[in-house]
Amino acid sequence: MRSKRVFLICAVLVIGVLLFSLSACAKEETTTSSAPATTAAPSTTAGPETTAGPTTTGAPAGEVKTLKIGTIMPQTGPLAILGLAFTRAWDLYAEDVNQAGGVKIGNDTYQIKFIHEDSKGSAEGASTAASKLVNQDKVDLVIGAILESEMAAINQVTEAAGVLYAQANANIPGAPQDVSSDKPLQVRPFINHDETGPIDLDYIAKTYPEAKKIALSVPDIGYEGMVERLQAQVAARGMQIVAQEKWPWGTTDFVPIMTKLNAAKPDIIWAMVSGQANDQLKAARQLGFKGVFVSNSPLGADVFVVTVQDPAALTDVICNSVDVTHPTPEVKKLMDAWQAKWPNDPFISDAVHAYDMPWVMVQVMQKAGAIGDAATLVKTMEGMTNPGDIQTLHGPGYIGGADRFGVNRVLYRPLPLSRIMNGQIEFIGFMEPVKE
Amino acid sequence: MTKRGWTKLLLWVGLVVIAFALPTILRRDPYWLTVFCLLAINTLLVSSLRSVTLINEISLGQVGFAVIGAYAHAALMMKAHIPFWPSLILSSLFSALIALAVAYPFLKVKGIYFSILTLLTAETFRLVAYYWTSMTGGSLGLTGVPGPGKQQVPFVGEVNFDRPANYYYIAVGVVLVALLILYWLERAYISFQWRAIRDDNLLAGAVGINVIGYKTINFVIAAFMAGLSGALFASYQHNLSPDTTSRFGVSMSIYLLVYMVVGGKDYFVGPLMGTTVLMLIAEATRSSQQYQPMITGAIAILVILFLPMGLVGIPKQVRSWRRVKRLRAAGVDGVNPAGKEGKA
Amino acid sequence: MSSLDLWLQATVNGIALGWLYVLMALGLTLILSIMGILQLAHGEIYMLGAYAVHYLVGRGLGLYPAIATSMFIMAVLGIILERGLFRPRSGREVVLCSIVISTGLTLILTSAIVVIFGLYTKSLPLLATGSVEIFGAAVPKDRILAIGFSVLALVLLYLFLKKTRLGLAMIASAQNREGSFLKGINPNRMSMAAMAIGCALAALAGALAGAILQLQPYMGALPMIKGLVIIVLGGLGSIPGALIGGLILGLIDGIVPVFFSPAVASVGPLVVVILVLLFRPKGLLGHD
Repeated sequence: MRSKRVFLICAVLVIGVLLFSLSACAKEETTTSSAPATTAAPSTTAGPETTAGPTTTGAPAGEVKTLKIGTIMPQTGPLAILGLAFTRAWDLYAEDVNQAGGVKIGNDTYQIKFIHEDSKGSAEGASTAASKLVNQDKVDLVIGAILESEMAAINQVTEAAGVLYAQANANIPGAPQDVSSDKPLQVRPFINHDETGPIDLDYIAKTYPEAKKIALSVPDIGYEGMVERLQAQVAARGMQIVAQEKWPWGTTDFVPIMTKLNAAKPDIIWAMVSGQANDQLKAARQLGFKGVFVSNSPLGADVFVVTVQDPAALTDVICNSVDVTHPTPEVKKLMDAWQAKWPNDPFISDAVHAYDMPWVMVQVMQKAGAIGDAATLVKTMEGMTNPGDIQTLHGPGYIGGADRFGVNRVLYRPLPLSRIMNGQIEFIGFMEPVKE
Repeated sequence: MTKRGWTKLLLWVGLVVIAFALPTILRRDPYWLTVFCLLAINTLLVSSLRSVTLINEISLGQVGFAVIGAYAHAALMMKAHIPFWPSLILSSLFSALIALAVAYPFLKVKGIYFSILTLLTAETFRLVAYYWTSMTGGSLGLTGVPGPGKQQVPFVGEVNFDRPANYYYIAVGVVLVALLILYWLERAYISFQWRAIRDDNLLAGAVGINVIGYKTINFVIAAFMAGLSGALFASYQHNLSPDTTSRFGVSMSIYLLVYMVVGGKDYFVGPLMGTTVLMLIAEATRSSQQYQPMITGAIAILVILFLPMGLVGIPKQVRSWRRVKRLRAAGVDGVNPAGKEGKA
Repeated sequence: MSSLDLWLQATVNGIALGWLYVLMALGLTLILSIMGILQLAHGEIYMLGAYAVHYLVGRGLGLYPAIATSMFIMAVLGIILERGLFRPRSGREVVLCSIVISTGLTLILTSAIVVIFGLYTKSLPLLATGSVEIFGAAVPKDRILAIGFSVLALVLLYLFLKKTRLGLAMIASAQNREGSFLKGINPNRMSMAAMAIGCALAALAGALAGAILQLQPYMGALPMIKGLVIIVLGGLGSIPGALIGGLILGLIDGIVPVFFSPAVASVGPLVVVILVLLFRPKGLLGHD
């Protein structure tokens, strides 16, 4: 009998606490829902404390403040090497800025502070990391992520908190992750690697006039739209795609895929945007493919040389990512800084892409005159569409993408084009992305 | 009620009170609420795994049923536009239904084979989700899984449960109810049959217990709970991806087991303890990055070597060590601490 | 190129993969049947073996001596692991303990390799470059060499198991632990031998895979799953079963992605194994 009474008391206690805390959260709700009337920003759910942070408003001019940028990259798991390259580049960017005394945005000077978080290569990890960055660290900007699922998870958190999200690597226009008008606070200061299609094709038409038949190797992660686009570009040059193979994400052995592509007797094997183009080259050459190999991926030509080893395989390889053997002065500076800091680790060319990201965002903030409100920054960025509006490590760039994404929120900049012959990298030049 | 029963009840009540007071305490930092939300969801998944150990089997496939629950919930809400609560129950039931369908052949398999079988089944479910792109979005993931949305709560008014801080109440509440059901089942009459089966499968059959039948009930309930945790996760995260690195991968299946053993598999609160400790350690060591897995691994090995009863079993362990020490001091030989009863 | 050539290429590739799987599965099946444990860190031994070769090659050793040394080191490591971690302790459930310990080991070894060797993808010297023509189809030379080494290792293992007392004792122990114990076979010695041989074979598989593909700290996960699939398919403790299971899986991985789709190749074997487990719980060539 007594135990029953105890049970009842406990139950009442529990229900009481439940109601109390629920009413507390409902109160919170009412305070936040009244907030947007005054700030007029879409950041309704963030609560008053994020919008009135010490970095945004009310400070006297000329003060040195901190621009907090949260980064989310896989630092453990199979993609951790990319996380390493990106976060190191960001640290080097922060060093560059802070050693120069900070960056002037509006009337204030800002020191840059990065807070790095691990996404563990999963959407769940990315979401938790984003929650930590926006809620606990109260960052002004979130950048990063590699996998499409990670980016979707991050955007869901940042958008709800009214924080700007600069994503790193979405390659798939039209996929639910990429920039579009229904994701108001997401931008991409990163070039789409399939922009190189026309450049590569024109170069091939000029250098290998007899090569007409293309076999496509496509990662099976929703690249259909990009394949269609490439098909049109190929057809416009009198070439044709004779075979197309999709491989699932996580493939390590490319021999089966290349066996099948090679069976179509192509003149060109075209590895669509993938970090594993080097493995594909290795497999294709081992199977006796002698033609042109095109990689439009973020992999630098140097990566091919180091990983494929065999000079016979490293011939007629066309590559249009970073060419570390022919860097621009800015890229050279970055490489030297890297080598000075991590003398035992070879430079990873992905760092070049990464370095541009916070730099572009800072330029947007400078143009807007404040680091503040995310929606204004996006609007400012959408206006920077003239060539030269943005500086990058590869020279002047601009923001574009309305033709493909419906909004101008994607970085465009000159693309280096290189060819590997007998294991040696030949630099061909910087090419402007062509709209087609 | 005994004194121990009292302390136990008080502990439980304290736990529940703290769980529901947390959002008020942590109002300035919703990040920790998201961590606790995940913690609750994981605890349910680990408890479902523990529930299978009651019939002396180790299921490494609970994640597989979580996949089903998660995607069924997403499909029901997004395609069939069923409201949150019915969808939550329906998707868990669906997951239980799948378990029922496979239960008979699965439960004929025993021991290590059962573990491998369930592990591979979970991986198959994940791969099906991965390749069935029209339904699940494949590796791009499924975005925009709705949450419970705005709901009328008596005495409080309208609450938007899509916010992580408020979804916390739903997650913790549902998990608590689920745990209560599991607890009740463990104390109920049916658990006698389960224990009989656990202790001696053949004997249980010989005395007239329908072994497969009771095993099936256990397996289906565990699958229901796993499905429920998957569905809760889908609405929490709002997007799902079936990548290897996601929570539906093989490694998660195995981690769940580690959570359970570290907490103490013989105790009902073991899963809660193990999940809490390991997840909080993982959060606390965020900055150590590549050393982080090492810490978790070391804890798992140390616990199994030195604390075979898990973290919850520490008091008992300490008592047994003391007893052995006392006996040794008194000159009694041939006694070893509990759990290490000599090689004989 | 005719479709016959395509078949040939796919088959050779499948067999090469299959032999690597066989090496993994043989170790796993010995460990599983003799020790009765699920050693989930076997994939990490495979990875460690490959990294050991990488380290030794970097110290100036030739590729083949390095592979042999790595196999020896891993065998010793196997013995240490058996003595220190996996030897059954009374009062604990053997299977459960082994899963947790090996999971912990997986985490520790992977992050240790990350800390020591960094995240950079490493490569080993190529076994051979280019390809040979077989009936007009180009077949990569390194894969043929890998097949050769695997077959050699298997023949040696077979001779050991059939011609030496220790080997015969191991077979007996794998087939019937209690019975062999009654016959005076020391189970602890058998466990040590199983771990040593299993780890050495995993190291060989890792080294060959590292030379054909690449080295990453996370390379062990996939072959581990393949190994589990194979030993279930072939039957617990059955060496011919592991051989046949491995080759079947290798052929599936080599041929199915070429003629059907990668999706079928990855889901298919799992479904087959589940069916085998359900209807022949002791595996295709298993025994009671």
